[in-house]
Amino acid sequence: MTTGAASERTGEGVRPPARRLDASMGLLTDVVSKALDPGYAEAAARTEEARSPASRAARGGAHLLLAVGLGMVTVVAVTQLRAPALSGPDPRDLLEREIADRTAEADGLASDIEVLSAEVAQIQADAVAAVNPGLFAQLEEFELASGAVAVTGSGLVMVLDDTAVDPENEEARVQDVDLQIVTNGLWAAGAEAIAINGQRLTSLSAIRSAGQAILVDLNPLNPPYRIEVVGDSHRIQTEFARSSAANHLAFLSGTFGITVDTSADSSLELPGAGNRSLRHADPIDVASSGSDKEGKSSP
Amino acid sequence: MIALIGLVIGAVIGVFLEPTVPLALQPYLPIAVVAALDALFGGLRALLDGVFNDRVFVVSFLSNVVVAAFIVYLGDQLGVGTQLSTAVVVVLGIRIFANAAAIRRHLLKA
Repeated sequence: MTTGAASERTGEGVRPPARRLDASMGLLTDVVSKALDPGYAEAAARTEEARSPASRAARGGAHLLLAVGLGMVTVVAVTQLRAPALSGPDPRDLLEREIADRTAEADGLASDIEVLSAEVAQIQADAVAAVNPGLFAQLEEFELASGAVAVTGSGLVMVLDDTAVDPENEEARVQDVDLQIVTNGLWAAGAEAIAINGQRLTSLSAIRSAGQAILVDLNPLNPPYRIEVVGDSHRIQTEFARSSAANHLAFLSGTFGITVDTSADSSLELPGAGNRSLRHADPIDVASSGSDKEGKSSP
Repeated sequence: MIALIGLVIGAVIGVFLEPTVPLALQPYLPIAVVAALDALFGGLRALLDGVFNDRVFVVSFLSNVVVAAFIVYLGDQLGVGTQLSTAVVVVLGIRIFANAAAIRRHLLKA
C-alpha cells in the first residue's frame, strides 16, 4: 500500500531503468497504484475551458440528476440485498411444509386406493358370488384373514407411550422391536386383527425403524402407539399375560418408565391394509369348485 | 460537490420509497454495490486529494456499476459467472482497500 501511494505521488512515468523488484507483480501493483480513477488526475490537469453560465448549470443539473439516480439505485440494491437475510423463509419451515404437503398427498392417494379397492371388491363379489358362492365365501374368509378388508368388532386397546421421566433419553423411547414383540405376542394370544395407530397389520407387514421414527409398512408413526386388537379380549388378555411379550412390557415400564395402558373396547374399527397385490395363485380344482371362470382371483 | 449532494438525496429517496428491484436484475446487485462502493471511495479520496470532479465522479460511478453488472451477466452467459464475479470483487476490493488507506492517511496522517 505504501509503495503504491509513493509511486503515485512520484508519478507514473518515473521508472528506474533497471528491472523493478516487483515487476512480476505488475498486475497487483497496477491495481494498487491506480486505485484512484486516473480520470480525476486528467480532469485536474485539463485547463478548464470557459463555459457560459447556462451550459454550466445544465451540466450541474445533469450531474445532480445522475447522482440522485445512482444514489437511489445503490441504496435500493443494498436494502434489497439485506432483506432476505432478515426475513427469509426458514428452511426448516419449508421442509416441514413440504412434509405436510407430501403426507397429505399420500393420504389422498391412500383414500383413493381404499375407494378403488372397495369398487374392485364389489365387482369381484358381483362376479363371483353369482357364479360360485362357495368360492366367494372362501375369498371373503381369505380377505378377512389377510387383513385386506376393514373389520369391526370388540377387542383390546393397548397404548404404549415414551417415558415422561427422561424425554431426552433415546433408550427410553418405544422402539420398533418393542412393537414387534408386543404384536407377535398378541397374534400368539389369539388376536384376529391388529392395527397400530390406524395402520392395519397383515402377515406381510413390517415394523421397522428409520432414525428415531417407527415405520409400519413404511408409514411413520408418532407416539403414543395405540395398538388396537380385534378378538376375544378376555382370552387375549389372559394368554398375553402369560407370554414373554408381557414380561418384555413389564421390563420396559420397570426399567425405562414406558407407559403401557391396556383396556377393553367393545367397538373397534380397523381399516383394511389397502394395497392388495396378487403374489401367489393356484388353479382351482375345476371338479370340486364347479367353475374355473375366476380361477386366478383367490388371494 | 453537487454530485455528492445528489448521491445523498438519492440515497434518502431510496430509503423512503423502497422500490423493488426487478427479479432479473437481482443477481447483479451485489457486484453493482461493490462497484458503487469503489467509486464512492475513489470520490472521497479525490475530494481529500483536492482533485474531485463532479463529471468524473458521476461517470466513473455509473460506468463502474454498469460494467461490473455487465461482466457478471457475460460470465453467467458463458458459464463462468462465479469466477468472473470473484475477479471483479478481488480487483475492486483491492482498489477500495488502497483508496481507504489513502483516505486514512489523509485524515489521520498515519
